[in-house]
Amino acid sequence: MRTALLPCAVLVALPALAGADEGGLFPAGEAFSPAESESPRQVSRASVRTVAASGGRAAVDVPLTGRGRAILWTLTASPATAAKAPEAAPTSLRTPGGRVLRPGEERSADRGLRRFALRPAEIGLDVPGTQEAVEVGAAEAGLHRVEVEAADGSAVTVVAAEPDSPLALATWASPLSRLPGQPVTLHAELRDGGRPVKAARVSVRLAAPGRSGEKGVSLLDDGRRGDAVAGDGVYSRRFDSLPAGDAGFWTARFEAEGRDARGAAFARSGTSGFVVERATARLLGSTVRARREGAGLVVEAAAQVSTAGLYRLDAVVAGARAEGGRPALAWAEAPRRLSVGTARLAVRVPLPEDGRVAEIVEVRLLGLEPMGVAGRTLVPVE
Amino acid sequence: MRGAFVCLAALLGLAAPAWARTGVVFIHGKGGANLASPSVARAYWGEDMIRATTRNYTVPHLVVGYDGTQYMWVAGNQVATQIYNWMMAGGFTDVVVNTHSYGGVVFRWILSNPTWDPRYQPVIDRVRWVNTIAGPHKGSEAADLAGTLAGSWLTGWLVDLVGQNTNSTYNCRTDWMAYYNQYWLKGTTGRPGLPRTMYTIAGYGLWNDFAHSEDYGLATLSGVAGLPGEDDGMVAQYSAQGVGVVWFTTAANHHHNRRNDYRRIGDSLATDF
Repeated sequence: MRTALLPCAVLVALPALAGADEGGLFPAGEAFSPAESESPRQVSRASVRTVAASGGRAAVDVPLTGRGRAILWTLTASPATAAKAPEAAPTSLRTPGGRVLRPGEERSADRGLRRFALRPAEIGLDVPGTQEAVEVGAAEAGLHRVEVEAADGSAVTVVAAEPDSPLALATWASPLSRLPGQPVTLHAELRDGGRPVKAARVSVRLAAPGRSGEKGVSLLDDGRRGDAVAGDGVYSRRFDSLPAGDAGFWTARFEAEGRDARGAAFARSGTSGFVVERATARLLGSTVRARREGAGLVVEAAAQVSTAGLYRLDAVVAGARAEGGRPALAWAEAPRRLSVGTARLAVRVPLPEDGRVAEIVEVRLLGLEPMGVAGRTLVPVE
Repeated sequence: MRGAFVCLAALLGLAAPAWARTGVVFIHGKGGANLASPSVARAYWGEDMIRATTRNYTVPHLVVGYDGTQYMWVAGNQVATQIYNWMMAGGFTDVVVNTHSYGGVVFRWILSNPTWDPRYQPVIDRVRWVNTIAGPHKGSEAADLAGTLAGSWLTGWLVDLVGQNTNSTYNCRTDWMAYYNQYWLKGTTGRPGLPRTMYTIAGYGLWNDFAHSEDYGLATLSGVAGLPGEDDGMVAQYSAQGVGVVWFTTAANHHHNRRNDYRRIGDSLATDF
């Protein structure tokens, strides 16, 4: 049985093939790219807020900075309609300057507010039914009131995006692949054009695979607890340990509020994620060696295996540092079925015969059943 | 560029040896579980796309149907099984694979992990090359937005109302694809190369058909999700070109670049034969 990658914790029946070793040379000009230590930065110019309807309606006050157009997208789900693809709920919008789009109106009197229907399933989102959005041609700075007629008990979500705004929230996690015992640091950078946004309120909630989000905690820009530099617009928080939860992809949801360079209130929501690796095996870093043998390279390592299964030793060889970084020279992968205990591993890597000298090797031990990263290290070629 | 290569290859007899039996495969993107149905999978592409690509059905073809909600390795097994059975039954030895959106990631899983399933290597051996249309090879910011909207951020009964993402949507998030690209998939910068070339077709248009609600949806999604640079409403160009060799870009948006309507993409795919 091959276990599906951690988040779903679903077992997938597949033949477990050990397979043959593979390897080859990189084409000339390929850059060496070791495993990244951070998740990619996700940039948001939107806020997301969900409220429960009561008294037959829900109201959300959305702060917009008034720099360009805005899109206000309303999603409604109620216990009665969730299973049968609900139709869009009647929505009205009132801008700070008094422009109004009433339920049923396609456009406002000044034609600056325009309503249209959306079917999230058509655009790949896993949200049922028909929803609607309102485009605000030239948004004003200030609170925009969105009111939705909805049955009591409905969940009303308002997504407010300012696609042209220079005020953006970038969010990321470090590391992307968290080995057992490693701390995790979450980052949120707020910039208004080129300038850092200071004195904002930033919080984050973590969710383990298949679980709801934990209580929110603050991220600070104070140069402490994982924040590298105070006052640079990057708000951070280091978690030396994580809340209870399974291994797999964890998700972080960020919320930021504050005022932009012109004093207008803003709100931004973002996400990021990282992988909590299982402790099925551990690459013993001090045992990893790479030595030349004949026309190739032999990489040797030891691993402490606590869960028997199929693993793979990967090696990527890089040359001497040059302008633009190190060149990637060659690679090899060696699937191995390992038993519990200490395992000795080795893989042979071909080397190019064009005079380029192998200098370092990135070595990784990957679990294939279940999938996951059991260790990685960089070693010099002896 | 690639067209010239194809013509030259055909003249020199390089594209496929004279004894090869050629066929073409279509692999759809993510969606519902009902995409495992042959008729639903066929409708995904539209009959004119299949007709044009196969030169009025003169090139044997297979429209693969798989559960569009699954992780790439689950989908990969369904895809490989269908291709394997079809190519063995028909004796196809020279197969061009056309994928749309997530289908490109699913097939890259197969190319990257030839020992995962006993059918993967025989399939790879018979593939000439892959055309990956609007593939989220470095993830999709639209899938990131789906994560922000997921019900898991709510409490109590609201959790169940708002809905949860499918496994294929999770698979397409930019952080998940970054992880997969580093450890489990080949073909991106710094990773081992793929055993077969992937040619990319990236979309950069949004408004293809003002009368169609899908276009409003894609334009909205592009703005709300914050897709960077050029995009087709669901996949940014940088991601669609994250692996392989650029073949061409198209003004057709994510809905139209799997069809042969707004731009004649099927006619371009037909130049492979």
